[in-house]
Amino acid sequence: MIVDIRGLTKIYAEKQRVVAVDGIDLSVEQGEIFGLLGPNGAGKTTTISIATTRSLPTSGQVTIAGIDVVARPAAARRNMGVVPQYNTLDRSLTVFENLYFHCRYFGFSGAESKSRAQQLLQQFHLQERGTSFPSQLSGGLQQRVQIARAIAHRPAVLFLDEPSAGLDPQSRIAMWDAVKGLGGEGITVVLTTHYMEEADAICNRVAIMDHGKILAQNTPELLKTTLGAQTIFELKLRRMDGAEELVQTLKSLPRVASAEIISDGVRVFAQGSDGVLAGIVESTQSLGLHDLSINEPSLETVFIRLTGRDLRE
Amino acid sequence: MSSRTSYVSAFFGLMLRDLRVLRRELLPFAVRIIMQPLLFLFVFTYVFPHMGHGDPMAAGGTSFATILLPGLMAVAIMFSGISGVALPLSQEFGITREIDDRVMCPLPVFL
Repeated sequence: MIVDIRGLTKIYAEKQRVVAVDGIDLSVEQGEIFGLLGPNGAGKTTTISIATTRSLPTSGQVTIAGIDVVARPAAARRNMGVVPQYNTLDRSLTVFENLYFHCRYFGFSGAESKSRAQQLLQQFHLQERGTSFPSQLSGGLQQRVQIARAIAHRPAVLFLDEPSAGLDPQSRIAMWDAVKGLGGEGITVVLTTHYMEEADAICNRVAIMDHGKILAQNTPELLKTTLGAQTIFELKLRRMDGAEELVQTLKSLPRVASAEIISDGVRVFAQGSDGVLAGIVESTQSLGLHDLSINEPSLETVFIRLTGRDLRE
Repeated sequence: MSSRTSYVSAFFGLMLRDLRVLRRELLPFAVRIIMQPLLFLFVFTYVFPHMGHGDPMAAGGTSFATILLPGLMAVAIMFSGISGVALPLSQEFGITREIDDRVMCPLPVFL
């Protein structure tokens, strides 16, 4: 276990007592891309800031690569890279110097830092931007520099706190590719997000969190199938006269959970789409099937099911 | 690497960063440091003596210049020290948050 969280609790006891994190257990394996999902105020950021030594837990223990973050914060920081929610690039330094001095902070020699910074500029396609200042870059480029800087000292774990907030779709995809590439290099990535498609696209494993507790923890695929998310088939029919009987036959098909009549056709709920589609199409043939749409289950359905529809403060 | 040498190199890195930024902003820095003592000098040696009747500060045994110089030096050191540390610090911690990366250096935390 590269990241190990045991019974972590954080209580803010100022004017109002707020239990931000309520005794969570999490463990992340080497080389995994782990997603921490949850609505605003679920406790994701608090968890990340405790794990990255920026905040002290009320109780519980976090170890990064076997090092306790409360007992030995300086040693733990050598093993982690952090990309916070907001832009923290050093505005008085150029992009190259941002990378260079970051390496210096972590004890690299001058020559090592220089070659590492050059290499990172190459890796993240920032060669032409080396001499620009962060304020001259677009949001997407700034985010790329931040990720490059966070992994400059070759950490074992990279923490990304809502890395795609405020990015355009292109930068978001570029960021995903960069993060997936890091997974390939053996860097463990822990990211928080509330974009479900992001978690679905890049995470090996996700945990859904709300009100300071972990509600579910598994691979995105297993979460979708075990937590009752169903594939929805919508069938448009030319004739509706035999629809009642059709619904009965559809319901008797294997792996079909239920079926119902909608205004111009039927809707079928099934567990997965493999092997179900042929049966459905065959039995609707006689009523003039002319359109079919399939909605695969998404993490979003699972997420809403677990966390509810209520609006957060 | 032992923790002692890693602390030293992290501190050294931070200092290099500050020196680089200082060198880049040398002119504004110099103006900020020099202007204040010059203004004080103008006020104490020109404005005040011309305000009253004669020069009350010249009445004592020691000459005014003897006490003016160390006074100005002390004021200049103290104020530029405070403004040089506290202003960037409060700005970088509060508004721009750009100090975060330096906060995450492998240096010990004293709590």
